Amino acid sequence: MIFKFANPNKFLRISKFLFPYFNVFFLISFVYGLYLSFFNSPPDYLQGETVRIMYIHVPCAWFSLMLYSSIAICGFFSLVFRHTLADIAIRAIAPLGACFTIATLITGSIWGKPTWGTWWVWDARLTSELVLLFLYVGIISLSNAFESKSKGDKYAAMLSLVGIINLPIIKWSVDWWNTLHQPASISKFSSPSIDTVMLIPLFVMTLSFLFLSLNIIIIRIKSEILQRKIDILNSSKIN
Amino acid sequence: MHYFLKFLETSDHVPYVLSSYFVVFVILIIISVNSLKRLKRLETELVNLTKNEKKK
Amino acid sequence: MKKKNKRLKTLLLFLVPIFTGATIIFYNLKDNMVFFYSPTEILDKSDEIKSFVRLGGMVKKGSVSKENTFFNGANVEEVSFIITDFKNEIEVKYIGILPDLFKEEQGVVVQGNIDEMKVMRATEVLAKHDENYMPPEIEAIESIKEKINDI
Repeated sequence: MIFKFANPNKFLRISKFLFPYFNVFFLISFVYGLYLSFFNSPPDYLQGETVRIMYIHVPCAWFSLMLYSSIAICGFFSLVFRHTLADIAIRAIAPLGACFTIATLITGSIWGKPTWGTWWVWDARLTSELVLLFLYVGIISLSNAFESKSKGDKYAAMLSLVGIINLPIIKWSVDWWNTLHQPASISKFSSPSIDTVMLIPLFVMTLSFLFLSLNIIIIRIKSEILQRKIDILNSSKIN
Repeated sequence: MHYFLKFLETSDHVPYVLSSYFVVFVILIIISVNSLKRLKRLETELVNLTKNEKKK
Repeated sequence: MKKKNKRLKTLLLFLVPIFTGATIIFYNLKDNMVFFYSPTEILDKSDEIKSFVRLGGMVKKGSVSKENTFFNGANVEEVSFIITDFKNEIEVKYIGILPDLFKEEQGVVVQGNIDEMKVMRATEVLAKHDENYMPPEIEAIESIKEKINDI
């Protein structure tokens, strides 16, 4: 049932329809998010103005985790059901996820200097986020390491599944171990420990990052499908 | 506006905040431009290939 | 369908040992993965903990004091304060620059050596931020509320 919708041609048709809407949503939410985070949100009682770094650091961190989980889900579908769109999606999403992870690490480091007094410490949260970057790099390089594309797809999917171990570690490292990084503020659904005036810019920024990621993924999946078509045409020419 | 002016006054935090936003923008622009460029390149490549096929 | 089941089986045979292995490793690493110890843990384990250690807790209210001492032939300011986890306390002495967020009744992580007198000679002081974010005006209101409750 699901596979009917996961057909590459159907994907191309749906994404062509959605792409312009996503672009508009992204632009609106991005401009509004920037306005909120610089012009319409107060400084923190303790951190002062550096709290504004949070509005992009946290969405980047969320997406670095979310994109990894979607890669792992695709890895499962690729290994068990041999679904081509899943292979294509892994190749399309992995570089974007790596970008968000790098952005998380750099912005976190810039935030850490004025707040904690250090650029980097080897605590569990920071180290596991760095491991996530290595996992992304591993997936990207494994999928390009072999002559045949399908072999690369297979090993990348396997690595993505093994790497799932890292996700709960990142998420709960701040609760399991004493870390310098503070515990999550928003996981408690009843009452987030972030004041509403600071919560709104965070969510608007997250929304804008969501639409941007969707569109980048659409573009990258499209090119991956084109690449495969070109490969088929070229190989048939040689024969 | 009043928050923004106050933000600019706290001179010691401004470079940290602005540089972190700058870094994220640069990273996102690089990946978007790269992805778009690749798509354009592949589209023209595919068009050329199908043209050659037809000629034969 | 059969092929899919077979692939699912091999995948599980491959993943389950890895996941169980990782779980066991992390379960056993639990104590080694902590970034810092609380004062209680340090006083309990003072025989095991040898030289270099990280200590975390709350800076005790009214415990921060500064005095001038001689260090490496120069006259410098030495900060001393007490870190508490509300059960036990450890005194810390530190020469150097404190982070902006260092305040009384705020979280802090220091690293250094503990001497025979159970005094921590810190080489680095890091401020620990909590998970609460709020504008200063609201913080002021909250603290007034607390004071009223105290009375």
